[in-house]
Amino acid sequence: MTDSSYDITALLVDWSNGDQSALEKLLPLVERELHRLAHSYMRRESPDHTLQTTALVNEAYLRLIDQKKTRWQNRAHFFGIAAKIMRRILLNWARDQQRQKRGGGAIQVSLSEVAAIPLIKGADLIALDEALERLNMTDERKARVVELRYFGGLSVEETAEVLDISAITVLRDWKFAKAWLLREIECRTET
Amino acid sequence: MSYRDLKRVEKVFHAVLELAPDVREAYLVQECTGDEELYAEVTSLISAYDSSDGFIEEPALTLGLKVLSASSEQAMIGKTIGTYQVISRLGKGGMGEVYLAEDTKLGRKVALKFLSQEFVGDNWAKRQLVKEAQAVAMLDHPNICPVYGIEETGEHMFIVMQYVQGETLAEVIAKQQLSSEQVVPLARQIVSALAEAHAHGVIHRDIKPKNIMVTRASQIKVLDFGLAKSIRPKTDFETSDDSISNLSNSRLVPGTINYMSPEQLKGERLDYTSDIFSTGIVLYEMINGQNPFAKGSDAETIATILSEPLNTRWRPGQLDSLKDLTLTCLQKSKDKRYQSAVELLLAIEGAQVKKQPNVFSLRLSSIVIAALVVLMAVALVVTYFRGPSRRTLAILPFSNRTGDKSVDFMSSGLSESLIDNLSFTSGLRVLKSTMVAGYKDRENDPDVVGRALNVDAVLVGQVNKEGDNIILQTRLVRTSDGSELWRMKSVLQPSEILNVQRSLTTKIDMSFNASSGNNQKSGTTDNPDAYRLYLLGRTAAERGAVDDAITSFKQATDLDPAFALAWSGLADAYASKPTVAYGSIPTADAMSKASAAARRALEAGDGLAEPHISMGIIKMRFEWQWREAEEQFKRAIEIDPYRASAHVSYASLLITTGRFAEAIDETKKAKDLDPYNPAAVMSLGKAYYRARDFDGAITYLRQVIGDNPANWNAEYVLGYAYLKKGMLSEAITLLEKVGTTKKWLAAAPLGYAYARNGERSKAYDILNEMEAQRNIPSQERAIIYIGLGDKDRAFEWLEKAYAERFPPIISLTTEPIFDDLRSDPRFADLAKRINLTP
Repeated sequence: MTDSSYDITALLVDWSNGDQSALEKLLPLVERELHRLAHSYMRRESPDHTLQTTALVNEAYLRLIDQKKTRWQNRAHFFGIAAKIMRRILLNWARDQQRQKRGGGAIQVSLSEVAAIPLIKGADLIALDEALERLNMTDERKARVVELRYFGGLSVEETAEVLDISAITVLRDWKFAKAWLLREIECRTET
Repeated sequence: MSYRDLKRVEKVFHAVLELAPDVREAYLVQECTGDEELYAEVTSLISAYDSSDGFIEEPALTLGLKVLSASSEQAMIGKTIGTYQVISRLGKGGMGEVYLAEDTKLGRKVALKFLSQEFVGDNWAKRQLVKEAQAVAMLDHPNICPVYGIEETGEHMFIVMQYVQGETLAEVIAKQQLSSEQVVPLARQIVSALAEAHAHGVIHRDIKPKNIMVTRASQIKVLDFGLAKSIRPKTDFETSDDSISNLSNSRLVPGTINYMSPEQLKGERLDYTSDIFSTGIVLYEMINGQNPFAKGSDAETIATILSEPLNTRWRPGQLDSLKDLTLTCLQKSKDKRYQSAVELLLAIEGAQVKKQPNVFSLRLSSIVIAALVVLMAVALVVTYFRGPSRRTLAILPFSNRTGDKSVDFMSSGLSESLIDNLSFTSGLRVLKSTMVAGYKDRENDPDVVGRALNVDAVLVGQVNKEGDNIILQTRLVRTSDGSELWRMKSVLQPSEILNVQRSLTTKIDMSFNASSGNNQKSGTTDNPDAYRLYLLGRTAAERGAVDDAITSFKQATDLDPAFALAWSGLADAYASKPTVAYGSIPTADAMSKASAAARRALEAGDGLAEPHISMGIIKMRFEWQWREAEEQFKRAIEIDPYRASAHVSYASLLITTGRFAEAIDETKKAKDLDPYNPAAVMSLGKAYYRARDFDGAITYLRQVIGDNPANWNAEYVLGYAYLKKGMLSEAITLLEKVGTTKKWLAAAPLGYAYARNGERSKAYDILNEMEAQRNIPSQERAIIYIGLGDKDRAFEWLEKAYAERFPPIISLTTEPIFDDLRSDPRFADLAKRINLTP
């Protein structure tokens, strides 16, 4: 439990009760928590310590949330927010990287670190983000499935729980979204 | 894309996916009869799906976390937290992240240790941080990185520590193969630090190469007491919480287990021998370049530490004694290890190091090391040449353990003069090395001096009281093999001191097969009382008591008018009188007395270096004869190239005449000979400042002050550098601080600073106060008037300084504070009269 846990719990409750201003307050708190998570991840990463990213997010959630006071929906909201923030962070980073290629400055994540992570095939984060935005316009749920799984690191079951749908539906959405997004990206790249 | 019925597309898509590839097409054709658009849509999606292997399968979360972690580190840099400005990240370990920062108030670099992001707000971690600070605060040791304090601002809690420049031992080990000759002194310092910690009931619990810094001078600084535990010796042993059962604990840093003792891994109670085991691993790694237990996985490593016999692969050429003591540390049963750090320290000191000229290593018993705690220490080094091989002897300052300062002249004073006497031996060369109180991490560390000076034998001495007698105990230790050549105990009586000095000289002569150290040379004395008074004078001069020094030197010359060294001391003491720092006497008076004494010194001891230095100073400071002064300094250097003071004096002449590059060169020579000599240290700072390299001066002087915070002289010059750099508020803060102890020294630059800072009335206040004082040099007032922009008054007072022949007026053309006057014709006129080129 940390000092900020109560705030986050209360804000999540407020937000799910329809208080939109709670979201504004939530974002920086969750972001700070992600920073903390990032550090603990960076420290623990070693050949001996294979990392379960979902476990990490869960750990962060457990640290943050006073579970007695929250319903599972709050948990869903939390993961949703975390995935959104992560998406934004990565997008900003990808743009910075691009700018850097053209000579600007950006946060240095060494090449070896980036190379160690298989990125998306045949496209970059920016193209994916744009495609995801278009998917969101035709089918919001599928876009959320992708966001939670790819940016939030959630498993099929966890995504199902968060979105309150069946695992089979998540899997179907995921398959379709993958095909749709890849086609979208490739088609854009070609033109 | 244009197909609108997404539901229908989805349904067909999933249906197709469930079919075997060879029947898909038939199904599609059938399903999409009459709807070509649907057919095209599903076909392209299926084709995309078939090639989507790996696409977005791996979550981007891991990359995101890396980006986040890198960006928050970046975010710290440049931040100002309290009085600290974060400069860069130094590293992370344990629960902490360490940043290099500048303490903007004190103008020095420090290391700040923050809790890592994930521990912010974690009370356990906070308590641990406080505990670390408390544990280290108890320890005062040259090989332990000192903690300045712990601070909390906003969400940040951090320890402020000394910034140690250098590499971690891990980096040193990775970079090079260390020889036994290199391992022994490093090991000695590590274990010495450990002994200090243990003596205070602190177990480090995380000894590993990454937690050990090695400075450029090969000095060890043990860091990171983050896991340290304070225990009450003999009673209350703590149970380790780093046990295997806790290995999954996120607080445990991976890699640490490579240096854990078996009992630490098992979660048993820990005592000091756990640190001994970890030290054994560090020793092994220093010797062989790799960890003896580290395996592919934690589990294997743990098994190896716990139960497998150590499979040693020693690098060839290492000392057997070093291997043996390492193995003793690495015994799995703690009863079979060394039982204390002191025991291990003795074993290391006893390790035989092969003869290696120019590689210094010092083995002294810890008792003697403890005995070297001195307030004012003067290390003296004899270098002598015998045939092709050069050998050196360091005479560390004899420490005064009587608690009676009045016998200082018989302890440090004697050791200092001993070297002078030895220097008269034919073929001997003398280096004088000063170590000064305030160099906290250096004063007690003969190892550092030794390494800096490249010696291979050491004489140490200690003055104690035994009943009514004052006893001097000395030992000569040959560092080539660690053997004690002899040990001598003498009763010190003021009247006997010359005899003690002579018998020491004889013994040293004999030990080194040198000769004639006691032959009476012109310029020395055989009058015991004159000698005693001379020692008193020197001791007084060293501590800045110029009047006491004059009295003693005068008495010494009265008793033996042919005692050149005493005359020389007298000349120097008079010459240093007319300055701001020491309060002034009329220049003419000082000048005539100093000149007379210097002339007597030269008459009595033309073959010595000191009288030439004294004469050079007079030619420079009083007679403004630059060429003659240069001749004297050069002659002194010729007689004794190893005397730092000759180089320092020459450097000051070079500064005065604007030959800055040469001055910096000379100063560096002096610093090489005598790294902690305050005059040499200051000379470089002054040279940078006068050469108008203000940034260089500021950086350097801050470093000097960081090493020795009590250095008002460095602060004074730094104040001037700030002024010229336009850093008025920094200058004012610093000079006000200097002014609390050296009011009139700081007054002129402070007045200048006030004036430039728009606080003109404060500047006038200082001028008024000066009015009421006698002996405030006119030049000081001129400086304040320059600050006020009142050139007429400034020249008026400079003319007075000239008329008084106030020695510092010779800085007119090189002191940057006078730059504002340069364009005025009166400046060139005045400069010419001081024999300076405007």
